[in-house]
Amino acid sequence: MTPAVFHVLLALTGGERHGYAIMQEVRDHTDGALQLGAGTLYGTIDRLIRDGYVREVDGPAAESSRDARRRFYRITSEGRRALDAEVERLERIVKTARTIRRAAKA
Amino acid sequence: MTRLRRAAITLHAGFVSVLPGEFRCRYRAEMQLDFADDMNMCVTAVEIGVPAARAYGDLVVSAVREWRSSEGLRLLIYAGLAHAGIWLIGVAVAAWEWPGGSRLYPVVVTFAVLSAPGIAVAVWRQRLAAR
Repeated sequence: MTPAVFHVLLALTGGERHGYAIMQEVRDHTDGALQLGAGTLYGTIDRLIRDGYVREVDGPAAESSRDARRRFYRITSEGRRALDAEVERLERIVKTARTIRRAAKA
Repeated sequence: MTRLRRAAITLHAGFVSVLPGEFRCRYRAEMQLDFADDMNMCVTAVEIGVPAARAYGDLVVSAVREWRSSEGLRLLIYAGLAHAGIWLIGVAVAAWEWPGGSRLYPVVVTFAVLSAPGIAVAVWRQRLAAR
């Protein structure tokens, strides 16, 4: 799973969002370390929709006419499962790295 | 600064138009809206220039990625090969004697006549995909 896919799915666990909100959420999550451009973001969303990890939904009542022109996306149960599996995989990697570093220090 | 902002947004629309047809049709409005919102938060020239340059770079990289995964690249390769073939036919035809002794004229005419139906079909397909 690429960092873009991981962070887009992570941003969507908080509820349905439009692309711009996902972009801002990812920037906040990563303290600005990952700033998704529009091409990368919508390319990632497009692939996630094709893979069945994300789907397009009707958004909440729009707060502005600009928001009304945006599409909203929601993570699917398959998407959640894939994200959980990725988090577990990353946790195992960190655990292994810590064990190796501890052994090297000893 | 409004002028610079407008120029950045216009240039962004140009970069978006490089994306493959289907992808572009689906996401163009949102991409332009997001970029305009980003630009509206910028005040100075540097604040406009840095994210704009980053967005343009991202669009170029995305265009390569999306074209690679689309049918478009394969079509482009076939079209390139077909055009090279047509050009070679033109060069072969040019080896004969032509009125006025021009060598280039038959190459260009052959190229234009033989590639015109291909270009017409490509434009028609692109329009169909964009609907």
